[in-house]
Amino acid sequence: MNQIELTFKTAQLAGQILMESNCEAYRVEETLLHIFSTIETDDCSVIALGTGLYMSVTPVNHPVMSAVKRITTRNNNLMKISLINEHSFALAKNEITIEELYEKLIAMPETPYSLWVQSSAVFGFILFFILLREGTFQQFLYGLVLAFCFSLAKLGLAKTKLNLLLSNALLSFLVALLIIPASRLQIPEDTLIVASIMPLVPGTALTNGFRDIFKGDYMSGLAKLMEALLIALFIAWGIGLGLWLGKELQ
Amino acid sequence: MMDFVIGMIFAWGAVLLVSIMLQAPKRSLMLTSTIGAIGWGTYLLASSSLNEVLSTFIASLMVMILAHLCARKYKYPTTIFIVACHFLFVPGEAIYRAVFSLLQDDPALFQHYLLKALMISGSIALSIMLIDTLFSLRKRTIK
Repeated sequence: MNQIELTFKTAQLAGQILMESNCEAYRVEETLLHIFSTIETDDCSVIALGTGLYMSVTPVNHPVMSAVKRITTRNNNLMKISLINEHSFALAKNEITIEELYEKLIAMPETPYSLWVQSSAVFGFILFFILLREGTFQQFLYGLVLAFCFSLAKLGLAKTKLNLLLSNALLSFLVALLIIPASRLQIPEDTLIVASIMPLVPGTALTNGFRDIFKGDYMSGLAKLMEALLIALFIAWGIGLGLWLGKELQ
Repeated sequence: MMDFVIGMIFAWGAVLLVSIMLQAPKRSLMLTSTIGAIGWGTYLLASSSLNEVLSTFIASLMVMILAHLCARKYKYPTTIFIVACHFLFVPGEAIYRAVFSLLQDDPALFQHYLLKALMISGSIALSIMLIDTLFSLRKRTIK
């Protein structure tokens, strides 16, 4: 494989990993242009559209090369974004070669934390959020049970690799079912519901959508706004169904 | 004053755990959570006299400036600070409540919460854009 083909392949892989880690569109495009700057090109275009990556490069004295990559899964992974950023800067400064970069991308670690650490983080975050919302002591105690069940369920669902929307609906349904005894115990349930669905709600997707739109990436911005609304819809369905079931049972 | 300090400590812990949930690199955790705590402190200070949208905007400006300075100094992409530190400000709750009130057939409440969510996320995005542009201007003039 010659230099040009390898650079193209590396850029494609880097773009795919970045987009699957939920990176902003402009950063994906900038990183790939950085990588392509190591070969001489007449023309070079990259478009990251949230659900797909499109790139077309015309190296000097070489036929045009183009690729389309469908992006199906998107999970936040700040470590991968940070690593690729580091490596692409090193490449631009000639500290590593393109072969080394390709090998580093192939051997990219998945996550710095085990699933248990991640679940404990979810557990702790819910409790901290109840405290931030100035919850009472009873709410905090109830939150302990709620957060424990929620993080366990999230761990279980993460292993089944269920569709994101459905697993959000299931988790919020669980929260609504678990919240039913709270009203009998005279504990205000509003803060508890909001705190426990906080790890699911699409606030970040909404903000990123606006951010893309302000940058001029209208397509990926609108796609993210749509995604945010859809996630919120499924969470609300889950909660609504659970609360309705609770009322019927009482 | 005591509430203020306790709020910042809770925010510190919350942002630390959010960074773990978002799988941030281990070396960056302390830095991110400190920026998050300062941002939350700014929010608490601002919200004593301003409304929610404006105080989110000011807190987000603070977070963005710190994130850019730290990103320059420690060679991280700004993304890893921005996403985690804004987790406490983004209107996830408002957008959930908006859709929930729609399902409960309450259009007035839906409009109220949807508008709130759009305003807050718009103000965060605006401050991100503002500071990003300022810092890229600075970089260009130095070169």
